[in-house]
Amino acid sequence: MRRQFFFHAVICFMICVCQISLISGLPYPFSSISLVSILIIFVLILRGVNLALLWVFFVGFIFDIISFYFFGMYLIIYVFAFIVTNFFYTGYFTDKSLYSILILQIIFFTIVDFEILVIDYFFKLLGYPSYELFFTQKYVYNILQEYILNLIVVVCIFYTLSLFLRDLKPIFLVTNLKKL
Amino acid sequence: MKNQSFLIFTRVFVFIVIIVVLHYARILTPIEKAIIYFIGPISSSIYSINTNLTNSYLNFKEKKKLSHDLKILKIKYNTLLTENQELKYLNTENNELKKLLNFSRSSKQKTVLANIISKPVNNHALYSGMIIDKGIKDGLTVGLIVVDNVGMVIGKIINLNNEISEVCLVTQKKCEFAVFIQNSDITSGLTSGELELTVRMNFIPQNKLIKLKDIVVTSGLESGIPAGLVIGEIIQIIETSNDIWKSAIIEPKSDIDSINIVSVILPNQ
Repeated sequence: MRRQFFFHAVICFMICVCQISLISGLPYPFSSISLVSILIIFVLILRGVNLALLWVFFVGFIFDIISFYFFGMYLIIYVFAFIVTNFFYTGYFTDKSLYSILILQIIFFTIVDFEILVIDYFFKLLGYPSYELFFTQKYVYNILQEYILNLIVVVCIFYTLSLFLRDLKPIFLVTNLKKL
Repeated sequence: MKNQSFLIFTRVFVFIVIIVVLHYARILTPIEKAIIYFIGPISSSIYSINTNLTNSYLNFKEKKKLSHDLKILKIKYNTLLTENQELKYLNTENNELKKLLNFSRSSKQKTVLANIISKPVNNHALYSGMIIDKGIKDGLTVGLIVVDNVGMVIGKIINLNNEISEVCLVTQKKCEFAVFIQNSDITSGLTSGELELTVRMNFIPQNKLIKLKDIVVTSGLESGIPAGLVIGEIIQIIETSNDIWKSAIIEPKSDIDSINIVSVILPNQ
């Protein structure tokens, strides 16, 4: 168990570094791919809540170290988004199909975005510089573009993993009548 | 089951509170330093790979040779432009000093080289500015100017800790500079970023004559920021007859996409 935790911690660290240095430097909209968020949901579905929480802690902690907002902001953002997503996972989207994963990802992204917007708003109220996000047409268009791109990445990871794992259910159920 | 989940998440929140308290009590500092120590070199290497990848993608897209020639010409042009502005400024400064005070030429600025760890991302970003791998321990302070390899202004430091610093880019709204235009009037004003793409120069008096392609440089009125560093050139002039001031849109000369290393100019002792 300890070895598994250590292995996941190292992988998570590498993914965080990739997110910070590699993905953030790509041309837009590729820079908006949230690999850490995507992998947190996959870990939740494939390896359970405990390991996914470890990922959430690691991601939040590393982002908090690098960021210049108050310490704990990313921890709170990711943990809260994770709790809500886990609630939907355990209560409603229990099957490990592509539909469920896509919906859980949308829930996770939406909550993270919403939390950032709320915190940004409070920063603005307190007089701190903020991202200056407005619900303009361009903003909504960008959000849609980013969601679609992230969901495409989810689909790619899903099909890649389904080649190696039996846990994931394909989008189209194959019924072999001869076997029946 | 519900009670168990509740218990787990209560523990999680208690754990977060403990981590935050430990951070502010500076007990976590060695761990954080160790993580930054590991992230720094890995990130800068990955970032340079990323820059190379982006550059090759651009070359492929815009025909390799043309892009290459253009790049060389741009660097040459920017170097000459910086040199020209520096000389112009030094010349004016020298003349004035010779006439009035008989001072000698000011000494060359000291700089600190820094690797870029992360670029700023638009919209719901993780960071609001560019992150570099130098901080307080390297002698940096808030407000210092950051330039590229040919001396074009990239931005200034807005936040920093011991190991890393956050740099706002000239194209970001919160990044403001006291500047003047290199014209016959030496028109001064204040720049701030616009839409993360261009720079707007405000507070230009209506009676001052400015032209397209005029070069905008730092005025040296801000402490720690030397005068004569090129920000960009004017591409649009906005004036309405009723306003007291007019403004200009400036195209920045620095290109953040093609650099891995930046220089932070330290103030003269």
